[in-house]
Amino acid sequence: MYCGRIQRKMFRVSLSLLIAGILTACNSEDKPPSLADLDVTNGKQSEQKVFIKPKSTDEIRKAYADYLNNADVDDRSRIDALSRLAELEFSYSNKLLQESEEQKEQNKAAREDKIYEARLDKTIELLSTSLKDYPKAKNNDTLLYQLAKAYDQKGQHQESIDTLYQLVEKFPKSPFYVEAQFRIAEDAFSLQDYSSAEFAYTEVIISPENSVFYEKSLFKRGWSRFKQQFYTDAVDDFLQAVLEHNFDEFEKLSKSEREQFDEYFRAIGLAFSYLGGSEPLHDYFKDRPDFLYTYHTYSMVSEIYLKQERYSDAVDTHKQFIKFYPESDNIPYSYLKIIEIWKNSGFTNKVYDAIETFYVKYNPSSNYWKNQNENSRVNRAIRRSLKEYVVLMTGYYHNKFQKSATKADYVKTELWYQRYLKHYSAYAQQDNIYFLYAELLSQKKHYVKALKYYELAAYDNDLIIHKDAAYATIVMSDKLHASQAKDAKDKQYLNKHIAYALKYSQKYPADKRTHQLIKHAAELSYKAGEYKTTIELVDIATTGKPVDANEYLIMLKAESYFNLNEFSESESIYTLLLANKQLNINKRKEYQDKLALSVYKQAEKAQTENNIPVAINHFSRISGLVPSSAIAATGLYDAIALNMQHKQWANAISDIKRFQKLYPNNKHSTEVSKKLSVAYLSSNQGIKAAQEFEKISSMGGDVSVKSAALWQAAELYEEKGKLDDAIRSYEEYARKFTKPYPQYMESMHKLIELYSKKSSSSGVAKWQKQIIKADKSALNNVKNDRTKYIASFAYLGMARSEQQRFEKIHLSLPLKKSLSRKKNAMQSSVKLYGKASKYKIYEASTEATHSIAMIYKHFSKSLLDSDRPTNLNAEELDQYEILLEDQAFPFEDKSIEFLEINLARVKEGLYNDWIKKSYQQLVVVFPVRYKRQPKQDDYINVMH
Amino acid sequence: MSSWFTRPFLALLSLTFIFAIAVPAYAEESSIQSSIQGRILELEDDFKTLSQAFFESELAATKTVETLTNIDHLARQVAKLNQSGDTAGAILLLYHNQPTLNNNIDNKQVFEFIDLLLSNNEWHLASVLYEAIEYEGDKSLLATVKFLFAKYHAQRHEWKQVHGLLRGITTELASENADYANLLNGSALQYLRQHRQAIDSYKKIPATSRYYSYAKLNSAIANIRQGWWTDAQIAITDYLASSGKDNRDEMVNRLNLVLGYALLQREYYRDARNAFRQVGLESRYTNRALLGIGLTATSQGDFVGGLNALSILKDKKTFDLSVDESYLLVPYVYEKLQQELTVSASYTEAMNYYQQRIDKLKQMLKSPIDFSSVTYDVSTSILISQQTSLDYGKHYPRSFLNNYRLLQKYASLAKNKTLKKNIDKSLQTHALVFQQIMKHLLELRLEYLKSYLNQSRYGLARLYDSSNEATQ
Repeated sequence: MYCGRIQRKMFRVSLSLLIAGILTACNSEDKPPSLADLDVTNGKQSEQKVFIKPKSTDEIRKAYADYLNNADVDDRSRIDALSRLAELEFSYSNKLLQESEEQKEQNKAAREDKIYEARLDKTIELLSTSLKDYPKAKNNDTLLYQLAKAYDQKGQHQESIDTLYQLVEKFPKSPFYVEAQFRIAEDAFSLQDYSSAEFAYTEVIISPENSVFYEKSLFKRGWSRFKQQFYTDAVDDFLQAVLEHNFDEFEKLSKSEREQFDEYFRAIGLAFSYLGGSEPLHDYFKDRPDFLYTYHTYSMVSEIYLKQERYSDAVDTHKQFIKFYPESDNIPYSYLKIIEIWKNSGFTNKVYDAIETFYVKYNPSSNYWKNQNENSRVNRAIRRSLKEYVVLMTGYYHNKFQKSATKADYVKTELWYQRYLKHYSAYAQQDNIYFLYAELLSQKKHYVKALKYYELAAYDNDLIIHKDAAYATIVMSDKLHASQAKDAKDKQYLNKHIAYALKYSQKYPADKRTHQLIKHAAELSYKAGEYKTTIELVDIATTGKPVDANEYLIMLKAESYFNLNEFSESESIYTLLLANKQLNINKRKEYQDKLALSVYKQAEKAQTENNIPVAINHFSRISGLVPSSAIAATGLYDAIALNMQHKQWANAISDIKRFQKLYPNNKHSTEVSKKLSVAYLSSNQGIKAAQEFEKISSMGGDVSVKSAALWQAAELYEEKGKLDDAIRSYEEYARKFTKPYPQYMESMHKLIELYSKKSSSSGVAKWQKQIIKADKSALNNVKNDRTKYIASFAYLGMARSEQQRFEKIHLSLPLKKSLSRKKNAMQSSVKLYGKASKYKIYEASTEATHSIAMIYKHFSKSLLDSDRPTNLNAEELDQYEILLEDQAFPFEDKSIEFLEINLARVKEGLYNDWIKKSYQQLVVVFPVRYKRQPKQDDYINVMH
Repeated sequence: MSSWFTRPFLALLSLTFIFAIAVPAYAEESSIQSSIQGRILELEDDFKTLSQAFFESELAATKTVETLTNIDHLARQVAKLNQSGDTAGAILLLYHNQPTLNNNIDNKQVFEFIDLLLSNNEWHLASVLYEAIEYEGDKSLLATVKFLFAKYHAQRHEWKQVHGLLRGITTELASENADYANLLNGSALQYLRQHRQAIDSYKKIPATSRYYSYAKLNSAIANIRQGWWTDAQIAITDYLASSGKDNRDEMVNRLNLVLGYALLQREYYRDARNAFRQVGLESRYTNRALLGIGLTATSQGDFVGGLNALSILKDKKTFDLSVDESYLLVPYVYEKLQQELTVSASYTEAMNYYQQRIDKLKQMLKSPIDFSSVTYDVSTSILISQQTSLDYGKHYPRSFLNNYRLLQKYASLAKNKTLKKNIDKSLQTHALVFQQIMKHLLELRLEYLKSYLNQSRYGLARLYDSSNEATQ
């Protein structure tokens, strides 16, 4: 067996330890062996649990019975065993009963009943026999007790009681005596034999060792006496039972204890109510000033009256208590009870009078609280109740005022609210007082004050703790704001309104009122310049909602962003708004302009920040987004300007072209075209530039602009070698812009040059004539050196042409004719050179003088070289020769004269190629004079 | 269903032992005990009369008693007789030489004589000498004689007298006597339930005194009685640590036992067990300490340790209360180990054991017990009869046994027939009272055993009950 194993094991351990201990003791004098050597600590319990075979009910009952049969009355476990065995017996009886029910059909029930009955009968028989056979046995009281019990179980109640009577008669000192008397008393009480019951209970009460039944007997005897109308005696018993029970403080009582307490005091109260209520109460207790439960008694009597709907009596009972026990700690309870009684009885006015009285007496500022323990039970009750009642009063008068709207009711209502707030402001939110008071004030149009209390009700710091109050703060602050002058500087109500609306909408986004109040707040906020708040409000109202239903709010948001210089945001929102296809034309136009402006502002901002590419992009894209907007052209124009400024020629050209395409009639069109020309020019696209200039010149507008453009075009063509285009442009210029005169002359001069390059003598001649014509017709005051030069050179050109023609004419036979032609040509040429030089243009004059000299020289020589007539003889020929020379030499002299004129200009400080040429001719034609070595002074040489 | 063996039960069980070893015995006296104690008081007076009569008669009948006028000579002769076992002769010599005693009443030898007289309950002559010293008026002498009388009354559990005699005399006593007087006074006060004053009295005993350990023990008990467990524990622990004594000194074992049970009561199981473990293997307190180990180990949940201690105890062949109780505790521990089969067997074994013990005690009750067959252990006040230890000292004074023994001796010596007849008559009464005492003590023991037997029955019933429950 396991037991044996453990014991053997422990024995071995103990033995070895013992031996070890002894050995140790032998070896060491200092440490004698002790029980420590035998003690086994921390032994392992590894063995498995072993259970016995479950025992049958019979075996268990037998085991208990075995114990009980031997256990003394005072054995500690006896009561447990009795209880357990009783339980087993009871369940066994039930089992028998159940089996009998089940077996009814099988006719076995009778047999089971019989077994049960037989068991009891056997017990009764054995006990009776024992009592009969051994009437003086000392434990016969036990047997009688058991017999009574067996009779009772068998249902033979009277026999049971009779047996108990035997017990009490024969064994007044038996430990069962008290119980037996108690059972007898209970039996009598149930039979309404109250006199006998009283007697038997009294026996229990006066017996020693009656602790179990003493209190119960007192109480039941009280009832027995009560039933016999001995109310004062009954009260004595009831109160004695109360004292015997020694109840703890009422609050500390368990549920069952409290029930018992109530039961006792109900009895007491009932007895006093029969005695006549408060008067006998006072009489009874006046000699018992220290009785612990006086108040409870009064209270219970009052309750009984209350149950009988004798409200005034119930109240009077408490009033009597207050009167007779003014020093009692329970006085406040009586006041509270009075209130409760009136409250429950429906005497409204009395309730409120009672509360008023209670308030006056016990409000926190009253004298009552001096030297009071605030945490005592009664004082806690006062505080708790008083607050409730003050709340009640506020409600009562508030309702009354709402119905009557009289000033008196208002004053009363406000008084109670003020009372509450004076004492219980810490609970005002919890009791909803702030809100209700605010409602009252609002009703009386005391909006400023109402707002204050709505605020107190609504918010805990930033949190909304009362929805309706929060909504009311919004309404109230709006009203107050609206009542202010429009130019009022104080924006506190506006700010509050917005802040509250914001909070409300954040906490209750789905509330049906939220949208409207946000809309309103957003509008006010926007008007007040609180753009960020506006945005926040709008976001709350519109997030996740269709745009078209919230167009106005979204527009406010866009505007707010715009006003906050957050243009990209405003652009986005306007874009969003424009996506709504249902927009009417006006709105669409408005939003488009706002959109364009938002982009334009972004461009401006970027430009300010010197972020030029971004700025250009923004300026430029407006016309892409909303080309029809007012500012789109400006934006594009600004983009062009910036591009030009920053030499972004390609972009500029692109933008300009777009500008020209989109806004052909814009006031900046010309300017833009000019810029295009510049762009082309700057991007090395001269031809295109010229073309553009040419276009400009053809446009309407300022003549000076047009003429300049045409001139620039002509120059560009000329520069790029486009002679025809250049000639066309200059000719157009000369045709259109005769003024200013110098430029006009210049254009013709250019044409002469260009035609010269093209070897178009007709062209040259044409414009030489035109110059001369213009010169002739021009007033002197418009002429200048340049125009004179041009005119001079025009003559000069013509003179050269004539000179060439002159020189080409050969004096051939018939000489007269050819001479005449040549002479005419000479005269014409000299005349033209003469005109050229009259402008006193140095270069022209020197050339003209030299050329005239050369013409005369040529003519002289031509005469000498002319064809001789063929019909002359030698003499004649000689004669002819001499005559010819005579004719020719004057011209040579004339030539020398002109050459010397030219050379003489050196004296004026002038010198150029023509003078040089003239000198060279003089050296040839007049060597004697002009081909001499210059003289040198000797001393000069010496000096060097 | 929870175990029926609850902690309060264990506490109650162990309380038995605390009371058993503590100085005072407060157990409510039963009517039987009161009756017997009344008889003992009567017999005490009877003995005093007979003793005086015996010595006076002997003195008259004996002519050879030496007259000694020199007190020192007298003292030597008295000591000689006493050491030879002839205490009656020594007392007779004192009776004969009363004039010498009176003449030398201030001699310290007189105290030796008074001590001898009182230890043999020769009240008459002792009282005469007391009065003579009192008449002498020497405070120191009177203090010493009062001290001796106090010791005399202490043996008889006459605590009021003890306290009355010792009041205000300790300053007049020699230091050792003063220490003992304080110890005695403290004990008297404890018996008179004046624990606080008792502790004050014990505190007067210095650590160097031979009575210091007793004072500590009694202080501890007084503290425990007052509920000052911690003070008691500290006092004992300090003493044990500082005294340098080990368990070869029975006082150490006794203190450890008291400490152990005190700690057990306070549920300081580890410390309690440690205290029990210090007790020697051969001590008269070993069994109680083993029981203590069994209880503490079990309370600690160390069931194997508990079973070990209780099994060792159970296997002892003595029949003291500890052994008896171990039979009941062993199945409890097995129950804790959930060894139900062993529990069942152990309860059955316990029931058999208790039944046998009950039968044995009933058998003892049936026939008179010979006074000469019993032994009395002075240190534990235990009376042992037929291997059964009975707690005599808790209920009855040791003086009764001494008187009985002296009377038997005087009966054999008495020459006067009348006197002898009176002594025989008194002896019969002593024998009767002795039988009543034995009956009372055996019945008390029977009550315990019956209770244990019933607890075993109840335990078995609960075991059966729980076995059935587990299957439902």
